Amino acid sequence: MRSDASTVRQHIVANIAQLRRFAFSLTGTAHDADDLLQATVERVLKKGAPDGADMGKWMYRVCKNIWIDEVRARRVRVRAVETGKLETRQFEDGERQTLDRLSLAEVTDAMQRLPDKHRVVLSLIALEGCSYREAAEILEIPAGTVMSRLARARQALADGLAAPQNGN
Amino acid sequence: MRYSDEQLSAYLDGELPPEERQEIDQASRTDADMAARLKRLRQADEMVRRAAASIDDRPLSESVRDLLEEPAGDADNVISLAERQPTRPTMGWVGALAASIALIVGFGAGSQLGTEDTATSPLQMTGPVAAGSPLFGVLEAGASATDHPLDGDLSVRPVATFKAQSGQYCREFDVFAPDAATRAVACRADGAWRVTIAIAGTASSGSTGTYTPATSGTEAALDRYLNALIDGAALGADEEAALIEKNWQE
Repeated sequence: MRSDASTVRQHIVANIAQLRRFAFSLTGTAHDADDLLQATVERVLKKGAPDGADMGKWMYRVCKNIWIDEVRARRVRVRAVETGKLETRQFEDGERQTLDRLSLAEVTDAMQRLPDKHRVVLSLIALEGCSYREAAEILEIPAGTVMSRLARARQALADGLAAPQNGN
Repeated sequence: MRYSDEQLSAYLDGELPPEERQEIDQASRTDADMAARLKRLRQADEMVRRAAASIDDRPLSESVRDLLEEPAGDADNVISLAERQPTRPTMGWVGALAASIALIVGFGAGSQLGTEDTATSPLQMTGPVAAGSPLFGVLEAGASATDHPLDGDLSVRPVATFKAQSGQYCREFDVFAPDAATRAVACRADGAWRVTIAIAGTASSGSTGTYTPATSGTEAALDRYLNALIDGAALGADEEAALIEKNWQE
């Protein structure tokens, strides 16, 4: 039995802030994160979760899949603009100034320099506190792969932050 | 012996077998180099969390908020709301869900509240509550309708305890600072508390103040949030005390 719409919505509301951070961590810009979040929410609302799925984890999987399939290729953004769904991006230019926190911008940049596969693992574990097994389920990869990618991501990020200018 | 990055990383996540974990525990006490490596890796995570949380400063996009609005004509939902409405304690507060899923309190209480990434300002308060933090202690064992002072000028007052439809226990609580207050909801799973929503407001007067939301006019949204979350009625004081006594096990 599929969860009814109200229950699904309630799960999303309860997790929206976390999900949005995850999206931001993956995309590195606020409006891409919001596009990704919107696409994720739309898909989860429309399709629900399969029988027995943990809704929380399911949303991350959907988010990850959309990111890989669509947002990285910018298709979501183009389509959203075409259908007039997206408001003007008034935040784009001012974003960095608004953040006005160089260290966070540096981290975001350092995150974006990580390979996608590493970044998604680090985001799940550092942000969500997923266990390796949970991350493996969400990402549909073996737990051992989670462990090795995570270690490399952390190491690379620690190195990158130690020397943000040359990234090494 | 030299431990691999992978081992140290797994150590931080509590994913090593007990013996290996103890070895690293011991070694990190005497081996300064290893302690430094662990610290660097741990800091990387912290930075990831802070950077990700910086998006909380921006309001949720209209389109996402629209998606999350309950359809007005949902007959089933109307009935369930009507059933649940009287069972929840009357709230003299409500807040701006729309503007504030990401919120934000204007006082520097991060370390005490034990929520993540609070070293940056403005604070956000959703996310895991660090085990062992003062807020964690209050959520875990503090009675509702009682002020629990934290250090400095802060206090926490649990408002109500209830069971969510997910089966988790959740608590509404207010956090007071001299000139600010936040109402939040935290839910408990596997011994951990996670703040699921926090709404900034103002405190009328000090630690005995009442919470007043910063923005009015979207009362229904937050009510809907709680009504959707709650399963049945809020617990009575005795039920709550018994639950705390039993460490949240039924």
